[in-house]
Amino acid sequence: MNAAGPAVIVTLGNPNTGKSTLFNALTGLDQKVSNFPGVTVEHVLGRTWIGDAQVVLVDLPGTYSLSAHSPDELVAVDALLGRFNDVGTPRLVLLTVDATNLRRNLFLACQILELGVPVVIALTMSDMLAARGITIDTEALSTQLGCPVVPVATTRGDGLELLKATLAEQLQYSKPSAYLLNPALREASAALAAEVSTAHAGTIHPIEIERALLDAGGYAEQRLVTQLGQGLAPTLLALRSQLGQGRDLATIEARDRYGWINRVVSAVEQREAQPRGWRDTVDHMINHPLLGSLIFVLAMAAVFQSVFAWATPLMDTIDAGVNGLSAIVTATLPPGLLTSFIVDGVIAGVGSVVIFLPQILILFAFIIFLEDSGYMSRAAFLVDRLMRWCGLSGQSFIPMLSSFACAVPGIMGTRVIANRRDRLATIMAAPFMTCSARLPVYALLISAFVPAKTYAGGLINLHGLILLAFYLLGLFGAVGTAFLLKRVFFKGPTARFLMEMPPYRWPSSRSVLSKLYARIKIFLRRAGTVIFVVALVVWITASFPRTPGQDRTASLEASYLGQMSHGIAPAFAPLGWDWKVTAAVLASFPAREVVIAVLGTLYAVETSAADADRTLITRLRTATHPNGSLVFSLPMALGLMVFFAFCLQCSSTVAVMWRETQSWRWPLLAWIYMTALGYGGAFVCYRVGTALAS
Amino acid sequence: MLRTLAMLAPGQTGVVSGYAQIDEFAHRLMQLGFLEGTSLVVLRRAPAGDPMEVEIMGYSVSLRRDEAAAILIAESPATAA
Repeated sequence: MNAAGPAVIVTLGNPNTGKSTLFNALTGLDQKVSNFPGVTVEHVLGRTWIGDAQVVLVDLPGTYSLSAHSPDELVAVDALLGRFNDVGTPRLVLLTVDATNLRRNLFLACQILELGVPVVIALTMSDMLAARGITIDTEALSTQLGCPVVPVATTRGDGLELLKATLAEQLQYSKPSAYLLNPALREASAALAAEVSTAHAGTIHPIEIERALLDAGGYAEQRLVTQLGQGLAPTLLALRSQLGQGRDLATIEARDRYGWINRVVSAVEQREAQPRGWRDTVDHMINHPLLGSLIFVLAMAAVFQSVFAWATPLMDTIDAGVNGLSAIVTATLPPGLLTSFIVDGVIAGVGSVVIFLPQILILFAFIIFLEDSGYMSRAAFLVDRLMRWCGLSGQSFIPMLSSFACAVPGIMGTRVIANRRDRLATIMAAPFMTCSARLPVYALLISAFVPAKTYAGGLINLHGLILLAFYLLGLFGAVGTAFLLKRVFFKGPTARFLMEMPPYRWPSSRSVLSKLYARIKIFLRRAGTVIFVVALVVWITASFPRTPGQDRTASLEASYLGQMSHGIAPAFAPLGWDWKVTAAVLASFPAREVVIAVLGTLYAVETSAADADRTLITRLRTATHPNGSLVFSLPMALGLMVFFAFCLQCSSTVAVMWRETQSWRWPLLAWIYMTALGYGGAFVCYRVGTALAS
Repeated sequence: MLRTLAMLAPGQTGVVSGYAQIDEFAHRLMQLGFLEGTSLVVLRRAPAGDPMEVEIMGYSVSLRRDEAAAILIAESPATAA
């Protein structure tokens, strides 16, 4: 046993091989799994018991090869060499190999088997073999590769016990694979590694040198040259031509490996020609130029319509529950500060955000389903041409689409974009996408101020259409920003698009539910902490100093919040906002969905006990300026929505932008740019709308 | 003129014969199985004719027209039935 702690097992494999699903099944850890290449960008740790020993499992990003042209791609090599402190030196590699796609998967296997770390192969998707007319002789494959091979069907749980037993056995008795395809390359790499390690008092591993030799101009070479000095470059160049005898070394590597793979596969695999059935039919329809685009638009429209239509009954239930709770508290407790705090501060604040849970649930369920089914890749395929127009690639589509849920995972997902300029443009554009936190704000203002009209016999409603329009506005902001950055500021070639199209899979309900659960937990935790604290602060600043004897409106105006917002309100008066809206918007800069909680608190504080049962919507509809005119006209409400569409009111996004760009410049620039756009957009919307209405 | 993957229409098959230029992208394609002698079939093109989806070694991959233009296809046009 490893004296330093539990043994480390690293999981590696091609994207879309069910690696993360297997990782989850083994560790029980809640982690994002997806059918799209490159979603897992960070390594994830999980603990589990293998036999009677506790082990640490590390899930690494899916990769097709060990060759690295960006820092992200060298993660696998670094982890295998024990370069990560929290990972340590791995004792075993658990390699996932998609049984239905043996040839391409064995390329990475072939590279890993040469590293001198013991390997166990999990042959995933083995339950799909029969349907594809494929038979694989697992024993023969194990003999050919010189390592254990265990067929598994993770979603059904088949083979997991055998896999665990095999891992336990290999932890005890494992010996590294002795297989090596190009001994001359390894020898030369080892010699150079020894030479530079002594000369520079560092530890350079032969594998690093090997990757630098194979991937000319790649990240391994760049990093070594930075570490060891420019003198290394000519040495590598000379070695390369000596080993390749004038031929390209990487081409030789690919040919040798596939030559070996073809021999292995022809010895272990039998394929019968078989029609692919429904998958082919589905593929033809979804990818048909006309029908496919229509399906894409319909799918997106269905998402937005159902977010409104299906969620309403559930939201009414939650609303009734919140009101009932307030009524019970008001009836039970004596009137006073405590009751006001519980009803106006806590219940009104948190309740007005929790009410949007059904809509967020439906939106997330759709996104997760589309990701897991493999449709996301088809969508990227469809829109790549469009994305290229604004200077981005289909690769940016995934982070952008994830940003519909939340910009934070979207921005983290930009790590798969190798081109730095593309990556920065995507990071700057992602926060414009309509995230789930904007949804409650839109939903509230739309249902309060947009007339409830339906068209086409109730199939389409105006609320849904306006919501769609705001999603498109966010998209437009994102695309415009990317266009500006890529076409004006960082001109240069567009990143490559090359992308695997994973086969369609019917997502397992367990996997969808567990991911849904994880996202809902994050939303509720925010509602329970950030939003609660802001609601609390707002209630305190709105309730103090106490001014007994005055009516509620006057005491609110005299409060700290009233004074502060009155001070700043003139700056926002051109947008048609009164000081209460200003206060709510200011309070929502750390997290935009807070605005509802604050509006809820502010307008609840103002109302008399007689109309305490009125909903926030009716309170907003009847709110007036001092001169008696309504605060929330339709142009003002739409302008407020435009403000929320553009403005960067999210401390988590700012933090993640800083982390991902390693500088304050980009988040600061984004914040100023987006706030200015929000103000300008709201101004234009309010002024033009008011002029048109009069 | 050299025949490249970009010239194949949906439904057409071809055999990889090499690369217009050996660079990082060519290496990446080779690692995915686009090697001399490997056969492939163009499944379809996106609405604007670009990108295209190609099946090779039993799996599907999508690439853009200018990326496909880097892959040379052997001179013996074989059209799928």
